[in-house]
Amino acid sequence: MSKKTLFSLIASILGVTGIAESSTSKLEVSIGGSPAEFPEGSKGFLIVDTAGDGFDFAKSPTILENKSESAVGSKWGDDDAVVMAGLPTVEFPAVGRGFNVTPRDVESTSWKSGDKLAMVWFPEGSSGGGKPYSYYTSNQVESERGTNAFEIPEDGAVDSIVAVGTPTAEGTVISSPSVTPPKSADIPPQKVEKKGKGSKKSSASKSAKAKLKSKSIIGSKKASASKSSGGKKSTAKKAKKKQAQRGSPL
Amino acid sequence: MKIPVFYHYLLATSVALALSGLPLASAENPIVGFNRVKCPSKSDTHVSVPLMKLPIKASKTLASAPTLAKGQATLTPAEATEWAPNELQNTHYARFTTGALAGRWYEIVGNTASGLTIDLNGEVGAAFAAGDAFMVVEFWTLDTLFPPGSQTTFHKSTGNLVYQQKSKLLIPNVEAAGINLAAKNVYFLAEGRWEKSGESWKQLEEGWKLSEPGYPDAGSTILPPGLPFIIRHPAGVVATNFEPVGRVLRSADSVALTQVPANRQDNTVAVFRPVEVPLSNAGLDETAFASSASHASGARKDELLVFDNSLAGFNKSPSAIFYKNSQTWFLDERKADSNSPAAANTLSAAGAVIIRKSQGESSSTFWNNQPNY
Repeated sequence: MSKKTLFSLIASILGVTGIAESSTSKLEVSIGGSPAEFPEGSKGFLIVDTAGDGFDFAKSPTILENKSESAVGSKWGDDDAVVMAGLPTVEFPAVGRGFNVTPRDVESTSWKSGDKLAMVWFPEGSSGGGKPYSYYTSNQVESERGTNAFEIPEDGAVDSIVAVGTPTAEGTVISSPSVTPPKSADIPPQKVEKKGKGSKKSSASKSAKAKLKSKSIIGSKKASASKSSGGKKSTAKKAKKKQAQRGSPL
Repeated sequence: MKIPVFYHYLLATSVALALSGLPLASAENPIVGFNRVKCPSKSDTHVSVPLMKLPIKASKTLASAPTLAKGQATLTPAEATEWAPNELQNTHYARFTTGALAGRWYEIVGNTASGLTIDLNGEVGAAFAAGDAFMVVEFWTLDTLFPPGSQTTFHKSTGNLVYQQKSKLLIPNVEAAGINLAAKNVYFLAEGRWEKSGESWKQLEEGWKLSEPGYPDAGSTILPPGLPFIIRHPAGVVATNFEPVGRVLRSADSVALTQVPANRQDNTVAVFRPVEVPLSNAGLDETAFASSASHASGARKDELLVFDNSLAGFNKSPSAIFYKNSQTWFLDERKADSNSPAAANTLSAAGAVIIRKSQGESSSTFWNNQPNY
């Protein structure tokens, strides 16, 4: 179909439906590391924090029960949502294994540019029943091949989030070749205030939380203005600030 | 504001005339030229190819008005031809250089020894007439514009995965409705390498790949005339040059612009000139580009968005936005009544622009540009 014909078709459709003015953005992803941390059969999910108050699963891992079959757009907790679902692992030559996603539309009315992203994966392919999970996020462009921190792209952008590293003697799981790798020590989860929602946790959820063996990893970098968007404004300064306060890797 | 100038050079015997702005004798006097655009590290560079691929396959005139059927036109040249059946099919286009449709180009969808069939792009085709001149030109492809073995513009990727990719080529989305449209496709040039497949190894040849599942070969991907694209270099690589060589268009150029009734519509386009084009002489008349009723942003009609390749960055915002008020060009400085006149500003050679059509009747108009060389 020629460009003009297609435009005419689009125009006629828009004329009838009168839908809102649209824009698009795309995201590509490479996140990987040692095979031990990214076992074959792991299932990955890219999650967005739509409220900018921190990822709900990091505060209450019980919400990860039975989330391994989630679809794009489904909610995880109060205000986090699935941007990419059910990602399989692929071999990362000379690195190990990881998740790789070619450019994919991420436009949605459920989230906005600048919202924070995290990759969550279930090493055993499913969640619940005390099965482990891992996650990773970062406020920095992690690799020279990346264009963006772990955020929803600006309208019209094609962004790359890339965090790939080789395992080290210390057992580092993910690192960028260009930055100091985060330590993989088992540090207890950080406490993050969640206004208006702090009293929701029940004893049942605490019990379920204890069942989940958290193996999470989170970048320790502080928020910076290093986004290389050529003058594009950041719409997530608030969220970045909160993420920066998280401190050391989990 | 001065739009940055790309380095441009014109070669061949008529270079002096071309640069002096003196009129050249006839359309048959060919000019071969090249443009040079610097592509910095850690940046998107917006470019287009304002030159036709060499050699030009043929220059002909219509013996008669074409036969029209099913959105196609069958052209019969007045001159003798020696084409093999369908040798031009989907690889060449016909660009009209004279007549009512001068400047427009049409993909050749079939040919016989003595005639061509073209896709009319949804047009009626009634304006063709005997004597209209046209050239038969081969499309640029990724392989012909950037031959994998010899090109020097793109840093080759060490593999297909996102983290292994280096330079990328982003093709804009010219089909979707809306504004701020993300690129439609991303391509990269993979280096030749050995790759383990199970227990065995296989040798992979270097070549262009489309960044989508399966990473299909993409060397034969056509780059339509006037379609801009983005060259994206990652951080940590050296700057390169984009330096296409080809035939200079010495007749009109005609660029289709689309308007839709529901919303504003971005048209990512380029004027097919290897030299700077002043706004005042760009050919964006009221038919192609509607004047705004006032300087107030709320009264804004069509806008022209340009990009500055001297500024490094990914996903660049436009460096300037121009509009017309009472058919006079202005730079949008976000002032309600005193924006600066911009008629002297120029469109960059081998650059890219977005013409953001205001909401209006569903239509296609044409931006007709005449050469200033």
